[in-house]
Amino acid sequence: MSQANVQSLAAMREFRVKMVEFTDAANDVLASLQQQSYSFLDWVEHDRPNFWKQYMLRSFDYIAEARVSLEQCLMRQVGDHRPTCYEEKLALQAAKRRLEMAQEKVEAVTRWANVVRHEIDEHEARRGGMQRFVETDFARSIAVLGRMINAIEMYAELEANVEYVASPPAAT
Amino acid sequence: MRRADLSVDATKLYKSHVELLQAWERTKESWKDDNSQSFEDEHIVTLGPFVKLLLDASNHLNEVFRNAERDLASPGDD
Repeated sequence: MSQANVQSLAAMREFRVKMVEFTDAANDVLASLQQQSYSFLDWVEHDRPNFWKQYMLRSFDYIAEARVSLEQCLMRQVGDHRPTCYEEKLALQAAKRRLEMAQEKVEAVTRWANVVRHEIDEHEARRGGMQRFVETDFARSIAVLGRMINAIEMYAELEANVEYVASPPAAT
Repeated sequence: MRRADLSVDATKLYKSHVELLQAWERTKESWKDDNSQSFEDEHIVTLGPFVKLLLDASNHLNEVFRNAERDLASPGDD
């Protein structure tokens, strides 16, 4: 074994520590990515459909209320004067627009749920690939470096012992 | 505040990988032999493609999440 290897022992030890630190960081990232992905999917598949369906149902109520208000206004005819009921008409239009938007969102939720699930599946393939690499190949790399360090340490120790035995005893 | 922001994790992975490569460059300065080169080829270089694939996929998924969140947000949400 070369002298250069023995001199690089500290650097090799330090790099092995860096590899372990990278593994820890990668594992944290991999877990967080998965947790965030499934949390988002749950939001799209469960929270959003409920929200927008409720929003749509409330929109029907708002339309019904706006129609009643408009009819009541139109009935308030005094003599020949017919009220314009401008505000009531605007309120009804707004309620109808609210319902249209809610219906669009209910459809959008279904579309997004499919897209998000597909994209998470694609991402999981990459995430799983990295996870397997870190758990097997990279862990093996750390072990290989560890064995190299041990081998150099043993060699250095052996060489030191040989030098000690080979030294002549001091004259008394 | 976003419901899911994968950019934080992606940045953390990117930085960790860069730090590892920088540490390897420092290590190579005092470990120069055939073993060092083969260790780099077999154990350092092989990590790169996995990191890149995951970063690209995470950036793409983050964009999908951003668009979905914007489209499906409750009225009045930022």
